[in-house]
Amino acid sequence: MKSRLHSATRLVLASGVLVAGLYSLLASNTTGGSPTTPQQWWTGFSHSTVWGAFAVPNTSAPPPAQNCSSNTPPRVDPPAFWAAQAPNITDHSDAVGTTLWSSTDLTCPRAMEQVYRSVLVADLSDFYTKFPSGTSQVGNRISKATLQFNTIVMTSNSNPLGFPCDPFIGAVGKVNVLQRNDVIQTGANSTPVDTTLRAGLVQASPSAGPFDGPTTLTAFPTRGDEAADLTLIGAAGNFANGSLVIADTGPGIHNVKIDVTKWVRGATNLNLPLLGFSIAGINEATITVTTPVQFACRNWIEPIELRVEFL
Amino acid sequence: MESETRFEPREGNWRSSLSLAFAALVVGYVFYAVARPGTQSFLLWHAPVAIQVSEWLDSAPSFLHTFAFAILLSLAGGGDRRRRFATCLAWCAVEVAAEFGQLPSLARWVEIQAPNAMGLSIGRSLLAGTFSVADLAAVLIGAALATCCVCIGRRNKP
Repeated sequence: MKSRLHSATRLVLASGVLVAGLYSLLASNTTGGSPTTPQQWWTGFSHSTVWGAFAVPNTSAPPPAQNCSSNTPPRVDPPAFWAAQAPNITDHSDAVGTTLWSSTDLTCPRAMEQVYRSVLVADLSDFYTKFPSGTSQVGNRISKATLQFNTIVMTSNSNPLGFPCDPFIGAVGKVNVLQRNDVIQTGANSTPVDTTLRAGLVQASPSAGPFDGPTTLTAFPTRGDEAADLTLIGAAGNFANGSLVIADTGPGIHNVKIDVTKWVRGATNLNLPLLGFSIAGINEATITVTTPVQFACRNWIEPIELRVEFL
Repeated sequence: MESETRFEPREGNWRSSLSLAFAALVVGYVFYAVARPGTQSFLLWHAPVAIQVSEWLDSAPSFLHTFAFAILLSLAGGGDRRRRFATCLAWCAVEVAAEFGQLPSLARWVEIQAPNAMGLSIGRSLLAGTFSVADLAAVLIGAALATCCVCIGRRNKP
């Protein structure tokens, strides 16, 4: 009897220790607060968090010239692209608030067609402070990240203003410049971005740090980079490995929310302090250079926030 | 007879092992409280601001936790040296499995195969951590030391 009691006591004791061990093992993986409620962090896009790839020094810029040579080079080069720091950002908010849609080249829409696109950059540095110093692979704790913005979307090459202006969101934490008429090579397949995808995404990640503008620029889009079909940006559809949801189907301004979990997760794992998304139109094949692209498009995108849910 | 030889931990060893285990738990708790405040749901108290510690110590909690619970479990379970060794090994396996559960590829696989699993508290807890080879090494070292602690004993003749 004594032996049985002894065994039973040991069993209870061992079970208790086992439960305590397992609990503490799981608990140590769980961040503070309720373990069942993911925490949220978001950054509202503002001038402190958004860089315009094409900073405009004044808000009273003239409309684009009606006559423009197709050979007119863009006025900004890569250094200037990244030199567009916050102090240089000009508030173009008028009808729909902050916009990124601007260019130093206000005389010719070719600048927008050619290489450079507006970029909005979320400052993730505050997010990292949520975790203890030295915590690695923070991105793996992100369960969901969504980017939300307002835009006027176009499903074809026509719109009331006579030019295409379907936006797309580019890569994250990376250079997201897509050349018009670029061809994406995926395995054995070549996909002309502007004729097949009509909207595209290029992820170009620097192979090594520092992950700043100049280094990132070295990772310009290369063939084989991932491309996302945003052809259906006018409606819900697949967005790379995430999802795209048009919360407000319009007419007029659409509230677009896209799932960017994969990208944000990757960017944070790389400890990228800044995280960039490009927004641009790519249905420019039929644009005539006399169309005032910039002037009209620039008011049509209003980034709202990047929201991150993490454990 | 040799086959009836039993190994029992010395009383002193038993007590010192227990003391070491509790000390490890206390140190682990203090580590989280001062170096990683606000990050753990089980902390009853933590420092207002994190104290910077060397990156070499990042895996200390894995070591301390494995070490402490391997000892506690084997002492609670009792038995001969072989059994205590097996208990330490089993706990080591649990800790290693938990560490591998933090592999991003596994989390992605689970997300795809069983999206609802991430909605469960236990699922997120298992997969939310950060896989680290250093943690894995710390677990193995902790288990090895714990095994040494609980398996040192005198040979008893019945």
